[in-house]
Amino acid sequence: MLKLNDVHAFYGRVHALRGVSLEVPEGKIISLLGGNGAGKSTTLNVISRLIQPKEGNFELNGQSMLKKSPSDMVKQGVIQCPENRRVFPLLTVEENLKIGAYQRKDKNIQLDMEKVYTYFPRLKERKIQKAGTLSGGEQQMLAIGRSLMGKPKILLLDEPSLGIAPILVSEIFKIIKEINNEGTAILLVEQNAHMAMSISDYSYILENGRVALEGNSEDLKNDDEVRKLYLGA
Amino acid sequence: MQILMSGLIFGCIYGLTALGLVLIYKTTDIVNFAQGEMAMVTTFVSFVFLSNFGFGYIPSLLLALIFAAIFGIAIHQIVMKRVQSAPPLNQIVVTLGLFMILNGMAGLIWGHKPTSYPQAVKGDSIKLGSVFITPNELFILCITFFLMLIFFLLFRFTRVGLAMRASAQDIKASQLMGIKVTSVFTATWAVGAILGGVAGIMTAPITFLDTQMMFEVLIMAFAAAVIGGFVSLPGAVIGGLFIGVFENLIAFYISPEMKLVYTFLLIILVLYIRPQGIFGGKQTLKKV
Ligand SMILES: Nc1ncnc2c1ncn2[C@@H]1O[C@H](COP(=O)(O)OP(=O)(O)OP(=O)(O)O)[C@@H](O)[C@H]1O
Ligand SMILES: [Mg+2]
Repeated sequence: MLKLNDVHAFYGRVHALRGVSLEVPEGKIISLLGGNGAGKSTTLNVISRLIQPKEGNFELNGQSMLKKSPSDMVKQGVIQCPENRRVFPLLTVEENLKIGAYQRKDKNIQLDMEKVYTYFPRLKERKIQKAGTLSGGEQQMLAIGRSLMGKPKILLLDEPSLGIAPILVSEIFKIIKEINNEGTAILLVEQNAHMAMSISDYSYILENGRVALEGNSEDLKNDDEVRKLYLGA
Repeated sequence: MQILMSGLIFGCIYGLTALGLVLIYKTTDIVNFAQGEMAMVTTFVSFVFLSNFGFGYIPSLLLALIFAAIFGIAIHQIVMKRVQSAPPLNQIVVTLGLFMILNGMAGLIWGHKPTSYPQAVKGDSIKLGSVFITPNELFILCITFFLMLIFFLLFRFTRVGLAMRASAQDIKASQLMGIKVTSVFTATWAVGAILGGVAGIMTAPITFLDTQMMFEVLIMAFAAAVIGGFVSLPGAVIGGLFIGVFENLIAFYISPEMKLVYTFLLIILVLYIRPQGIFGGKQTLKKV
């Protein structure tokens, strides 16, 4: 349902995306992999409408999104959980979750908050704690919970494993899978290619702002070339 | 006691001006040196409604505050929006520039002769225990506390307040939550200008209506805001009251000429003991 076609984006003179095409079909997990500076976050920010591409198309359900604002995207259910978590440090855990539901007007906000607390019971215990005083892992849980509060149809996750202990990473990946099982499509940006490929249906590997390689995650994971270059095996 | 009371009234005026400063700083991270001059312009506009059009006090006040809102929106949209992500020093130069421009233009339009300005509420002093207070002073006290309380509650408990606090902390994350950050900031400037307008209109009967009427008030309001921690709305008002009372005591017991000197000595002392201000959080982080 979400589609980028030959997208080019610049930061001043820096040509950060050099023709990225990718698709996020309904209900799937798609991973977007690549090294530092490959253009993964930039791609998500194009989708969230924080960056206007110079060239190319960006469609959601067949409609061009190139004139939409960031808040329009949120309303359409395309929600980004940004790199480095970026929770609001001086708001409480609960206020952070409320902000996640900022553009919603329906009555189920409270219910969804309970659901976030069942995914992440640790957040419930820290409801009235300031988000800035949470540990890194807890902040990541809060950031994911906060984006769930917007009722995403497509969730864009930017490096949810960044700076988190391995045990917690697998816990978070399990929850990502659960979120997906309930019908939310996920575009997962990761440096941890192995983990990402093992839960995703399809993967794109970016290099220097271009899609260098793409394919079913299962196939890519077993491809010798990929193993050598990206999985360190 | 009487000295305390008149100190409190001045304190309210400093507090009101400081409220506008703090509101804008808290939300948009910009220190608005033009706050006093924006207030002065609004006060002149209210006087145009009062004297040139002959409207009553209340209609003139309301019209002036509507003007203030539009004025605040225009300043944000035309000027401040452009420097929102500029370095703080550049922002300071811009608001100082606005200070000069507004002051100069007001002088061109309305001249430099101080004019008397009517009080909000007329009437003789009433006796409260051992102090005399005029109905107008009582009105100033009430309106200050009312506005402080309203904005405190707005920040703490409403959806808009939450959006303002979030935008203040992280613009990008706020946008990703669907908050229209620019609109939030525009609204903040509108409200800040209204608060300034109220302060100006309360000040004018005391100082006379004049392009320089807000100079000293603004300095004291800055002091009040700093003592209050610059991010706390109740802190701004309490800081204002504190300075108003202190200044009046100095003027009475030592000498009126020395009041600025002693007031700033006190401020330096306070900041020496508590660098973040009395109600401020740690470092420059913001809180309600
Ligand atoms: N705000 C910016 N200004 C200028 N250049 C930028 C900016 N943000 C990113 N870039 C450049 O654009 C390119 C792509 O950056 P991007 O953040 O998308 O990479 P990434 O794949 O997310 O990397 P990482 O895994 O390190 O987060 C990089 O070369 C980076 O230096
Ligand atoms: Mg990145």
